[in-house]
Amino acid sequence: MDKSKQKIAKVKRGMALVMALALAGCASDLAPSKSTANDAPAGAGLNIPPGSNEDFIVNVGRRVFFTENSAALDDTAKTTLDNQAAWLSTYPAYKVKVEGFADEKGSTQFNMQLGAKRAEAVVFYLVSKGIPAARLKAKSFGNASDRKVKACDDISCWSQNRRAVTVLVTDVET
Amino acid sequence: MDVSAMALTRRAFAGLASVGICAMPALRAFAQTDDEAAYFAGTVEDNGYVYRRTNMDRIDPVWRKQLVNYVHSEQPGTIVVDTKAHFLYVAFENNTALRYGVGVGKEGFKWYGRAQVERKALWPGWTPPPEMLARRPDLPRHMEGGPDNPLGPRAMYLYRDGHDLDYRLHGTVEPWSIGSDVSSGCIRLLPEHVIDLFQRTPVGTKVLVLEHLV
Repeated sequence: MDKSKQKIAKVKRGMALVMALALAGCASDLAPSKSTANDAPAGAGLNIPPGSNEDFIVNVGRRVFFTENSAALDDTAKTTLDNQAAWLSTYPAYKVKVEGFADEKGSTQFNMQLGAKRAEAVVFYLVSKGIPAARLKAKSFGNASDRKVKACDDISCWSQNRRAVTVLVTDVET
Repeated sequence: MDVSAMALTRRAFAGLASVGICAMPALRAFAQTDDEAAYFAGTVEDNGYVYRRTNMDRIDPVWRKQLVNYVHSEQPGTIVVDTKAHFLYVAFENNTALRYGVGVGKEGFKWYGRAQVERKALWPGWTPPPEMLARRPDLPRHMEGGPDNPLGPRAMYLYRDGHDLDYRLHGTVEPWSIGSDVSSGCIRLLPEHVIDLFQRTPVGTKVLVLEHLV
């Protein structure tokens, strides 16, 4: 998509949001305990098949986050990875690619190495929790611009970009 | 579990009323009713404490965590709070979002706008501010985090331009209050949900509380 098309798409999305908000406003006389939003379910809604990719995304979570220039797993990251390890043990048909990323500060080379360290930290941790190394692969994207969550000169973007994402590569329904 | 830094002052923001304290505990001497007991199903151990597991069958499906289509222009990861609809969204790519039902306390309606999560706490404590103690001398000086603390197992603290907004996303010990307006607190989620949100929310995450003052 070129830049102008992206811009148009953005404006369209913005307009849709404004319209959605306006509609929500109209519904303000509903009883407060009732929802005034009317979001359609994406995917399977509440009936997520256990062991599906959506189950992993919604009920486990694919991402862990890091602090600046660090590939250390904090307690929060370990909690998510414990949940991932438990899920991956239950559904052994999946192989996994762990993608490591960095924020936009620093050189391309530095960030490529940092992304690799982050992805490897996740792989080592999952192995320590009993997931066979043969199922796991680490890959760094550094601060590749097309894989950024969002680029901006602010912690709100940096914090989202300093991440490792556990991607299920063999999406086998069980 | 830093609680001493919890803002004890009220801060006024341009154009907005003074922001109230966001986590007035629902202190009560209780005999739990059968109705309330039906909202729980066993207990869960978490970081040295125990919380009561929510009986999700008792929760209206609309308030359960689910992936929804949600048209937005936020960067992925951003938290959007719709106080009127009693929903909290984590914005995902492709105009989808992970949606959770929330209860909104009185203080949750006192502010709206953009902020960011600047502090997160496991099993947060609660310190009533001096002016509240003056009004309510019966309140404890400080309430340690734990199963009886109304903030539940996690809290995320919203700041703007480095200032604590006294606006918080936290848990609850009253699962029946999800989806409604309640007398106290800010934005409350089921314990399972606030733990899940905590996992997905690095410090620095943007938060948008949608306008609700008409």
